[in-house]
Amino acid sequence: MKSILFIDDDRFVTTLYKAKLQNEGFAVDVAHSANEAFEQLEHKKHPDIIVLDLNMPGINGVIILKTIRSVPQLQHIPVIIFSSGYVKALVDEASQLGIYKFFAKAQCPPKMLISAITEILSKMAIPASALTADADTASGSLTADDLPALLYMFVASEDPDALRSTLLKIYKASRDCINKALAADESTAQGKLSRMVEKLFEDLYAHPEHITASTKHTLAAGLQKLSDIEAENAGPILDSELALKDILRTLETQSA
Amino acid sequence: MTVPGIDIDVLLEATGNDRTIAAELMRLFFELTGQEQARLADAVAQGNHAAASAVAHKVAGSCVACGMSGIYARFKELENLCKEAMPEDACERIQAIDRELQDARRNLEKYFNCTLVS
Repeated sequence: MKSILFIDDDRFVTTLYKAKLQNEGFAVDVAHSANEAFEQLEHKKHPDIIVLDLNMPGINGVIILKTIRSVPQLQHIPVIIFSSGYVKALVDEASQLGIYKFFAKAQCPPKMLISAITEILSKMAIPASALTADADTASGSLTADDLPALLYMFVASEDPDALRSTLLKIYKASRDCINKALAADESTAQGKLSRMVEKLFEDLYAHPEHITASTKHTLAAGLQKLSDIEAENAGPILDSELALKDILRTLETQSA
Repeated sequence: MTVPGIDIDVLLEATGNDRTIAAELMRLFFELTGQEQARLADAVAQGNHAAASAVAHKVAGSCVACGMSGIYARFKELENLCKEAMPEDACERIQAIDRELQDARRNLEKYFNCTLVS
């Protein structure tokens, strides 16, 4: 069941939409303040979508959005702004942080918001298999050696289509590393990180419009870390091989 | 059956045509709106037009969600007027909105055949 976190200080709005969204088959959690939202994001399963009011007392929605976008585990989550139309400064700031859609409450009957949520979720359902299939047909043979150049292109790129194409190549080039890491136990750092990187790939591939400088660096850092972990895991074997070679050399020298 | 001043379809659609949930929601709406009306009256009494505008804005959003387009328009008008300065007839406007809200509540109580006062 897809889950939604609805962050709004208006109890009537949250109660109404919770009932409506539950009727539509979604699991809905509600937070009436930034603190409640952070608490839930920290301790509960991460939602598939966040619906966020901007104009709230205390910590406003933009600060919440900034926090979401700065946390690697959360920054891929699509956010719909459902708020007051007239706070233009907040809306502009939120748009720059990456939002899926903006709805002014006063002009948005419930079914309009539901349609947007359903639309996002239907798009999110595609990428996992599409990414793998598209990577299989991506041109050229790409290996981990190509990753630095591809990541450089990815970080430098702005156009959504170019970003998507480069992302596909990065996925293809790093697939061996990711697949090895995915085989690791989920409780290990390698297992956890690989699943996060895989999810980030899927989300960014489905929504290249959400790619920001921050997400680019997160993906690059995640891949680098996976590569480092793989190298560390290979360490003992490498050490053994070197030790074996040393012994062989010693034996060769001795026999000569 | 229609309910004067309310697009009941918006409300029922939002609750999956569940009249019990719809009635519960409206009970909550009138409870919260009553509190906001009191805050609005305080803001007007203190001459705080920005606070009055913010409260009117908040309640207007809730009115749209439950199909009260007429009352929404009244709150919206008050919100816009209060952005610049406190209108001289602010108290009369609040009283008029209050009367419309009471009418809406009575009409909905007939429709749902239950009381909507907490």
